[in-house]
Amino acid sequence: MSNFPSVKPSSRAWTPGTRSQSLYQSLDGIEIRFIHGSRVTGQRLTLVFENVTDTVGKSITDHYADNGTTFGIFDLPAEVYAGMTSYAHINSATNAWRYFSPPQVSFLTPGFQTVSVELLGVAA
Amino acid sequence: MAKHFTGSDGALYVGGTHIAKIRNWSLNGSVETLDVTRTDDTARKFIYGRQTYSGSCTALYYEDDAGALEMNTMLSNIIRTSGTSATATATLLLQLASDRQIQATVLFTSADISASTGEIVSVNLGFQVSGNLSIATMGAA
Repeated sequence: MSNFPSVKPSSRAWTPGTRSQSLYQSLDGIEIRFIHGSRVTGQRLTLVFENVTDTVGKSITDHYADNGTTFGIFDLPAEVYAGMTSYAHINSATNAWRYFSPPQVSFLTPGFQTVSVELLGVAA
Repeated sequence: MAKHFTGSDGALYVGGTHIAKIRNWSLNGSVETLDVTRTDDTARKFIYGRQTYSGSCTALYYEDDAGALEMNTMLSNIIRTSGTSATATATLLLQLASDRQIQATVLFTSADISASTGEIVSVNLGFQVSGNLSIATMGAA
C-alpha cells in the first residue's frame, strides 16, 4: 500500500464516518437498526494544498494516477496532519484512504498551483 | 555627486517621442503575494507572485506649429469614433535621468479632458502596463 506524498496542507476538513448498519422500518414507523461491525468507515478528508510548486502539485496528481485513480488505497503520512499533536482518531490504524474524486488543480502564478483532494476512509 | 531629483528632472516619452507638455506623471508598482501558510504555521507566510504596474500623467493640450496634437498617440486609442484595436499598445518611457528610467509597453486606459475658464486645457491620462518592464533602472542601486 502506497503512501500519500509528504506535503503539509493549507487547510484540512474532516467528516467522521459511520459504522456499517442496517435499518428496518415497520409500517407504523418504528425503526430497528443492526450494527454489523465495529469499524468506522466512510470518513471524508478534504485537503487543500494552496500555492504549492508545480513539482509538489505533480507529486500529488502522480500519486492519484499511480493508485489507479479512485481504485487503490493508501496511507497518509504525518505531514498531512501538520499542526495536530494527536490525530489517531482521524487516521485509524485499521483504516486506509482512497480518492473519493479526482484532485482539482488550479494553475495560478507560473510555477505554482493549488491542489485540493477529497479522500474517503475505507476499512483496510 | 549626491543629488535629489525634482519634478523638473522628470520626462515622459511615448514611442520614443519626448512629450514636452507634461505637467506630472506617476507610476504605481505592486507585487501580489501568494499565501503559502500550512496547517502547522502560527503566522501566515507569503511569497511573491505577479507584478502589476499602472500610472497616470497630466498633459497639456498642445498643438505644435504644424497644428499637430503632440499627445495624439496617448489619446487616439481612447478618444475615437470606432472600437480600439485589441492589440494597440504604446511604448512609454519615464525618466529622471538617462540612467534612471522605466520603460514599458502600456495601454492608455483613461483620458479626462478638462477646460476651465482662465486655465490651460489639460488631459489626465491613465495607463496600464502590459507585461514586464523593459527598463527598470529607476529602481536599480
